[in-house]
Order: sequence, then structure tokens, then C-alpha cells
Amino acid sequence: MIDLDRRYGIWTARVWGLIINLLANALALYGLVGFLRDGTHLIPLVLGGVVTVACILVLAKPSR
Amino acid sequence: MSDRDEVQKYPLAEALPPERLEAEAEELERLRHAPPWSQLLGYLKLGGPGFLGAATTLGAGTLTAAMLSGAAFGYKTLWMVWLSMGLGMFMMAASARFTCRGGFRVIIEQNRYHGFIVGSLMTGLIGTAAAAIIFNFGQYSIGTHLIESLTPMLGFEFPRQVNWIFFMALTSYLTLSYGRGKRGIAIAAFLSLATNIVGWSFYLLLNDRRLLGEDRSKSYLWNLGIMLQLTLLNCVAIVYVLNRIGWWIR
Repeated sequence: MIDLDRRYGIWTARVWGLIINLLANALALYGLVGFLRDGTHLIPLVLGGVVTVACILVLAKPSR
Repeated sequence: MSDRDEVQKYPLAEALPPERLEAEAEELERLRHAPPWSQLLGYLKLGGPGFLGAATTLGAGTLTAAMLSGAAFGYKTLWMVWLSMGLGMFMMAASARFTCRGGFRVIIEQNRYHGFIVGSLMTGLIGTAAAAIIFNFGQYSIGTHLIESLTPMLGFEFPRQVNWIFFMALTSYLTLSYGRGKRGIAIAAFLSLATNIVGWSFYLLLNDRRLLGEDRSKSYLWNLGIMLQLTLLNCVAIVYVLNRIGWWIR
């Protein structure tokens, strides 16, 4: 399991996780708008949604 | 046309082409008889970013009230958050009905039906004007205190007795440019993101062993709740930007 308190470059995995979560949220919403508009953009919707859920579940882990 | 007929008008709807309104009415009728999942998806589509807008009311006041309540009573008053959110929906629905219905001014109608004291005095002067000013006291207190605390790091003093002028000028400029043109979008997006980063910082501090030691969060459920809240706030900022740049549901 990933150590959220370990440093990767300038930030810890927890900070990188928050940034990835933000990007995934944007991707999911971009896809959702496209999907609700004309049924397209399913890939960004699913990809963004899956990464968002994964980020939330992983980042909810308390530090050791 | 009588006064009552005049009131029946929906000015917000009148600004839209009739065929679009008819199509929307047909869609609503179809959704009434649709399966639950299609119904939910359909209402979500028609609801636009409004449901996320509800989260924008979270601010310094909410933070202070939650912290004071938590500090004084622990988790004993946590149920109140859910109760107030639930009850708030009823009042928000009433306000939305007034806004969408249009054709009248609420305070004038209150004066007519309930009298001047309830309408102009209590709702207008005390409930709206005075409350708006008093709510701003908290924002000014936090904002000016932050400037006073942070400026020594830049090598000079800027006490709150003076910096409120700067704070007022800055917030007035930001408020007036909010949502106007590309610069307005950029400012709004930056402010929304800045609010999110405060939330991110709180989450990181809560999980920081160096700061809180054994008092740091050890609960998966607590962190999960915070992460869901942070994700919702992220979505508010993103939806705003997508909506403003025209990438939205037609």
C-alpha cells in the first residue's frame, strides 16, 4: 500500500493525491457535461469518476 | 388584466423562446413517469449547477460556528448540522419559488399582506440590510487580522486599524468584477481554488503527526467525510468555470 506521508519530489503523496483528485474531478465533470449534452465523452467521465473515487478512498487513510 | 393576472407572469421564463419552454415542460412531464434512475438523471440535467451552488454558502461564518460548537460541546451538537441543512432546504425552496415566479417584490407584498413592521422594517431593514452588514463584520475581522498577521513576514507593519481601507477596496473590486469577462472568470476561479486550498491545508494539518502528534486524525471515516467535502468544493469551482466558458448542458 502507498505510504501517503512519504515525500515524492517537493510534496508528500497526500498532497499529490489532492492535486490528482482535483484534475480527476475536472475530467469527470467535463465528461459529465458532454455526456448529458449529447451522450458523448463517456471515456473522460468514467476515467475521471474512477480516479476520483480511488483518490477519495486512498486519501481517507489516516497517517501511521 | 387584473393585478392578480399580472402577478401570474414568470418574467424569467418570458425571456426564453416559447418552443424551448414547451420542450422543457414536455421533458418534465416525461420525467414524472420515467423510472427512478432516468428521473434522477433528468432532474440533474435540468438542475444545472444550482445544487453545487448550495455549497458556496460555506465560509468563515460556518467554519467559526462549527469550531466553536465543536470546542464547547464536542460531537454532541453535530446532529444540528444535518438538521439545519435539511431544514434549510425548505426555506431555500420557498425563496426559489419567489424568485422564479417573479412579477412582484416580496417586501412590498409583505407590507400589503402582513404590514409595514413585518415587511419593510423587520424583513427589509433588520433581516436583510442589517444582517448583511453584520455578517460582513466576521469577514472583515478575519481578513484584516490576516493582513495584520502576514505583513510582518514581508518586513512591514500594516495594522487592522488602517488596513481595513485596503481590504474594503480590494473586496469591492473583486466583488464588482466577479463573473464579468475573462478576467472575472479568472478571478472567480482563483478565489474558488484558494478556498479549496484552505480546505486541503486543514486536511493535511489534521493528518500531520508533527503538528498534532497522537491527536491527529486516526479515523478513516472522518478523513473520508473531509475528502468528500473537499471534492464537492473542487466541483463547485470546476462547474463554475465550465459553465462560464460555455461548456454546459443546453
